[in-house]
Amino acid sequence: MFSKTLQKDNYGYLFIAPFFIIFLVFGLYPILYSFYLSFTDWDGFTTPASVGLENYLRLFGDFFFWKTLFNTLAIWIVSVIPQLTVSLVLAVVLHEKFVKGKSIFRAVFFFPNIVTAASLGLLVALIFSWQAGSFNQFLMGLGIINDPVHWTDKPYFMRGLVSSILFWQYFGYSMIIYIAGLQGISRDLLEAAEIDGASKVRVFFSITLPLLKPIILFQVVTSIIGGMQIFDQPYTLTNGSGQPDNATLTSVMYLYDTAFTRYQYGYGSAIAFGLFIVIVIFSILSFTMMNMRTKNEQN
Amino acid sequence: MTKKYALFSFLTLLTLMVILAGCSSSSAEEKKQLRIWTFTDEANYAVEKFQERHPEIDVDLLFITNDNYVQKLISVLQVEKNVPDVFFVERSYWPQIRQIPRLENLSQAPYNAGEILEQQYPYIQEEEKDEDGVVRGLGYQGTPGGFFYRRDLTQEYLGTDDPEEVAQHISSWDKIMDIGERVLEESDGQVHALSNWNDIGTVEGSSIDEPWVVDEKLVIDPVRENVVDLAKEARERRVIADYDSWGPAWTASMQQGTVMFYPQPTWGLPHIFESNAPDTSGEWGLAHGPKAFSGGGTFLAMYNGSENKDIAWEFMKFYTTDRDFLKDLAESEQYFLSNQEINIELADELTSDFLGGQKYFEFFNEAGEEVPSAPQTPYDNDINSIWDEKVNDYLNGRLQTKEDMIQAFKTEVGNYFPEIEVDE
Repeated sequence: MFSKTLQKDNYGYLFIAPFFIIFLVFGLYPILYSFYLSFTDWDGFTTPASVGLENYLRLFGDFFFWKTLFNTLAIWIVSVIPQLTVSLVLAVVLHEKFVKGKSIFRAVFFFPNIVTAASLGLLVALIFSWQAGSFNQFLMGLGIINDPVHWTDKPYFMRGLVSSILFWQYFGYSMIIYIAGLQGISRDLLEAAEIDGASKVRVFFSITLPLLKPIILFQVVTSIIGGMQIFDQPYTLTNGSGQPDNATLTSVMYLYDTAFTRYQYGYGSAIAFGLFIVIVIFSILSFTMMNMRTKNEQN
Repeated sequence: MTKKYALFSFLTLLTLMVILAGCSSSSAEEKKQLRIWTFTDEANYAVEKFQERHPEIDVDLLFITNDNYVQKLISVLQVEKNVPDVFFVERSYWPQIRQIPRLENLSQAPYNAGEILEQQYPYIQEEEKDEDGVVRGLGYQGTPGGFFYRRDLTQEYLGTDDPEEVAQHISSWDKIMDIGERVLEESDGQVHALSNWNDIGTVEGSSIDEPWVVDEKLVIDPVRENVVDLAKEARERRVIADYDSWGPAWTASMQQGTVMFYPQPTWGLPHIFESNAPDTSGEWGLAHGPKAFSGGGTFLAMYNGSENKDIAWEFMKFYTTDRDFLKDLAESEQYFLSNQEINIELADELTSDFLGGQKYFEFFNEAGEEVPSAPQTPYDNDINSIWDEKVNDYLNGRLQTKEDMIQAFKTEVGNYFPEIEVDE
């Protein structure tokens, strides 16, 4: 009745083909083409003229590229540390048996993630607008300040504001991932610890956290990749300018401005690959740090 | 024989069907289609009237919001796929677009746009030409400016609301600064003379002699430096309210009457004042300020690879020279035209209730003749925004001195545009 040999027809390839075709056309080809462009000077109207490594040399000495990289990192770190810790605490709390209405909390914390980044930026820009923003009106109403504060003119504040938007937007998402990870931890271990009389805190640090390590690593790496590409929030918040003092100009905004408002496609591509290298370095760093800690613990 | 007959009748039937099908759709096939891209809803009115006049032309009008209009337009021009036959371009991007080698040369036959230009204001004629003097687009809008003012405020603080007399009071920046200081004091800090420093920049910007880039070298015209000094003085003497242009505080101030003067071009009347302060109709006036200036404007350009150049030109001609349409546009939409001849014809009859019955076409006609031609470069839009950012930094104190400001500006321009020579 059943064939004894395994069917080895090639139909399977047919089913996975759509992904690869789409990836080749819309993923790999643009990547390779922009790599080629990064060695040229091109405004989109003439034929690309080869300039060798000139774009990369310019990138290396470009003060603004390094500044945008610094901005991006600063914005990212200030948002990612609270994001990953707050969401972990929330996930652990919401994973407890005694908490009522868990699913409601999970949904509510996830809501900010559904809001489009662009509309969040606009909303916050309105709230913190200088002369008519509701935040200043609120402070003035309470009598805390007499004259409206020019928030949008304060570099550190604006960077912090972008970080806060990112934090608010992504902590729910991280929380859901952590909860998924927590559900993968065997109840047996937790119960055994409980029987041995371990406190909740002890259980968290000795069982939950070590077993969550792969999930944490996943979160860190994806947030590095995502964090290096911050664009929508600062763009809409500052109306595309990256002001004040270029403090909210992120690397991808710089890339966008170079390639699509100044039409320097060659240099724009070089920025993209510069950014790519930075992301790779940070990803490798986080991988090795995690692995080193695991090895140390095993020793 | 029967076989042959069957084949014959089949072929006849087929031919008949093709002919009939052809008949039924012939009107649709013959109708030429004109593809237009625009970022402004003003186009709707013009297209509607154009189709009434030319029922044989089918217009496909695509509206794209201003935020990413230029990026989309430049992309299709780069790849030359789906390029519209005619496209609208806003003045801030026009110097960049008109240099693109995909725009039809309108100076040559059969267009001979030079004849149309003769009917327009001198400053518009200059803008319509590229760096080689070839006409690349037609402006349909006249955009000379004036100082819009609240009559109740000038009555209270200057003792008059007559445009001529108000113009005397604001004929120089010094006078405006003095008024600003006095008004601020008399109103207990409620009323400012101007809304923000860009008001000074808008007026002075039309008077520059040298564009940002000359022979691939960065040039800072003394007029621009003077704007910085004026802005600094205005900020220190609290003559300006520091409301961001187009921001909520700015628009609210028109209704509230907390700013006396708004230097704005023609289109400010319907698009800024009437729309933001509808309840103050009749309380506004229009006076000449320290200098003649213009602001904004829209140009129509044609794709040089278009297959419908004849009807594309028909539309462009209609929008810039058709007397019946233009008179209609000016009267019903309060639209000040680029066509000086028609504006002059209408100057006597057109008044604005919003401006307390003032003959505003007459006013702008006078202003339009005075507007100097400010030279432009494809870099203007980018460099202007860098300059504005640095001026803001200087006014807000982040950059301590004007020298620091200019240095920071030069560094940024040199960095973004390596091909421009910048002396440090």
